[in-house]
Amino acid sequence: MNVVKTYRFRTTLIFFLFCLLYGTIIVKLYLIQVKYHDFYTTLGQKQYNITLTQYPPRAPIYDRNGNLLALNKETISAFILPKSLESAAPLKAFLKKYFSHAYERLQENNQSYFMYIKRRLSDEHIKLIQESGLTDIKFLKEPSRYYPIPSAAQTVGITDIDNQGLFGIELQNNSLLAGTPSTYTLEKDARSGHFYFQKETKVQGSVGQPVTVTLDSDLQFIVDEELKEIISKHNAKEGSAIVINPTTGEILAMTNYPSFDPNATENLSDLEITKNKIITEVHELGSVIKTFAALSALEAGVVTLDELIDCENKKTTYFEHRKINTVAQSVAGIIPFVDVVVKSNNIGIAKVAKRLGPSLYDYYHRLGFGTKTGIAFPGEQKGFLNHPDNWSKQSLISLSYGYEVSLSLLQLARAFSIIANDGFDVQPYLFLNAPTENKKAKRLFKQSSICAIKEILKKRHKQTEDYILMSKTGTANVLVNGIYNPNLNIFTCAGIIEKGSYKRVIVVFINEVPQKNVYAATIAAPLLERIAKKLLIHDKCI
Amino acid sequence: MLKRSNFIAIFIGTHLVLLFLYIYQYSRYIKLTYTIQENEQTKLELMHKKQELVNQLYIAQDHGKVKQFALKNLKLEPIKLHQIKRLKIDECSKNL
Repeated sequence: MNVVKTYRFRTTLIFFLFCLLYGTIIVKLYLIQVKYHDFYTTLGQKQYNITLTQYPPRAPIYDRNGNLLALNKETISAFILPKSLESAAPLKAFLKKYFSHAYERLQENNQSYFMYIKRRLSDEHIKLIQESGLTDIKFLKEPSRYYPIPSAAQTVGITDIDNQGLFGIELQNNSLLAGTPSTYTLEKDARSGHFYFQKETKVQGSVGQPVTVTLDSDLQFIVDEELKEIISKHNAKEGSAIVINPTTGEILAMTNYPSFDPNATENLSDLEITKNKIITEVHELGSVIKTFAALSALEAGVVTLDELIDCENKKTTYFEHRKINTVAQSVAGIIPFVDVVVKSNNIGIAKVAKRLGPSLYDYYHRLGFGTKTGIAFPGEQKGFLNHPDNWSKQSLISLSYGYEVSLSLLQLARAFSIIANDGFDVQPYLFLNAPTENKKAKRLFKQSSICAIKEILKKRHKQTEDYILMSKTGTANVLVNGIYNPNLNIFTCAGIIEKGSYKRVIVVFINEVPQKNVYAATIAAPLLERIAKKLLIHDKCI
Repeated sequence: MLKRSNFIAIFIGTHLVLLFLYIYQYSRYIKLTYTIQENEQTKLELMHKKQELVNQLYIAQDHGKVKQFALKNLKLEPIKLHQIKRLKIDECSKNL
């Protein structure tokens, strides 16, 4: 009996123990599956589901011939995980010695999860870190840009450390080049590194679109070399050159000096040299503007090419109580109007401009002075053209020979392009697939006026059978603290080269040479002629 | 008519086979997904290598270096305009 009772007790006890055990399991299951269902679902998703944002590679920039002006490259950046350093002391010693900025940041933020030591490491830095043997320093690859044509740096621009455009074309077309990122949700297990089970697209981005510009990289190099040679020869402070196809408005070459290496911007301190001064700076260009005063007078019919103008045979005169100076080389007596412009006589041109009166402003405005060209490039300046309402008694005279009007070299190139394009409007542009309005271009000047002004511009050069070269030079004093400094000059030469249907407009600009008593005819004009000849060879137009 | 025991055996067996096929199909799918990802990774690495080679090509084609090589190593001189003459077809055939 006792044995049976003990047996029953044990089985009952074991039964209740198992009931308790299974009860605990059921309760736990209830808690996990029902009561805390949301919590564990979220925890599981956090562990297995990862949201990934992928940025498309930045699209390249091409020149008109398909050569790359900007392409992608990878750079190496070094980083550490401050919260999980294995050997902090040697790391800190290393950083203190070689990367002091990173060392200071580590001292301030030693509990952060992630910290860059330096981005875009040079080869020397990479070798230094590798040889240090510090396992806490890790590398990662970041996208960057490489620019094969340094002479186009101020036009193409550069990207910042996050590969976003900073200026130039890189900035102007940043959103087009960068594309938009895509966001994915990946389902991974705890052990997989790169691999996932499932990938779901949350946000579909777009790839970057390449940009093609009108520049010719070979021509860009040629023009840049010629500019550097002349600047070096005359020890000039700075210079620029631009070449345009006046029939279409395409900018074929655009270069400035001094320039910078877009592939080595770590030590770039003077941001002034990153500007594309052809577009972003304006000047009073002096005698080169006589071209347009003459064109205006011819268009208005107030003068003819062979009309004799009294230039009074002196350097200084008073015309309607206003003093007019002209340089010694341009002093002349009674000469045909064509020679007034060729000799660049200020007295003669002022007398002719007086016949125009306030309508000179309208003609200048027609040529685009005082208004932006509308080129798709950041920082374009519109220049200044004094409205007749604000004119003083000197204004008309000053305007006739290039003062009281400031324009950029691009505006000057556009104005010359109008002459080269037989009086039709020209819209300069940089992007090859940009819509142009030249097909429906408006006629701004009569054919007869254009032919006449071309005759004037041709006279400066001894014409050959091979091509026709027309140009006008300008030497202007620089305004310093409100006063024109006769010892500081800018030298401009703008010209047109033609051979049959082939036409190009070239504008060159040199700023401040140390030599005294020099003029654009000896500094800027030879540069234009050299570029013109190189153009003909490059374009196979002989 | 099947016996009851046979029916149960066939029923369970069929379901086991279907279960096996499902697991097999899913594991094949995972394998193929892995293969795709491996290939994508390889493609990415090859594109990076291609980019590096393109960069090196452009460095080698640098205008300044080419000009210096032509002037110094090959002793070439820049061509002048008067050195170029365009020959007409008649002249070419006469010379031949």
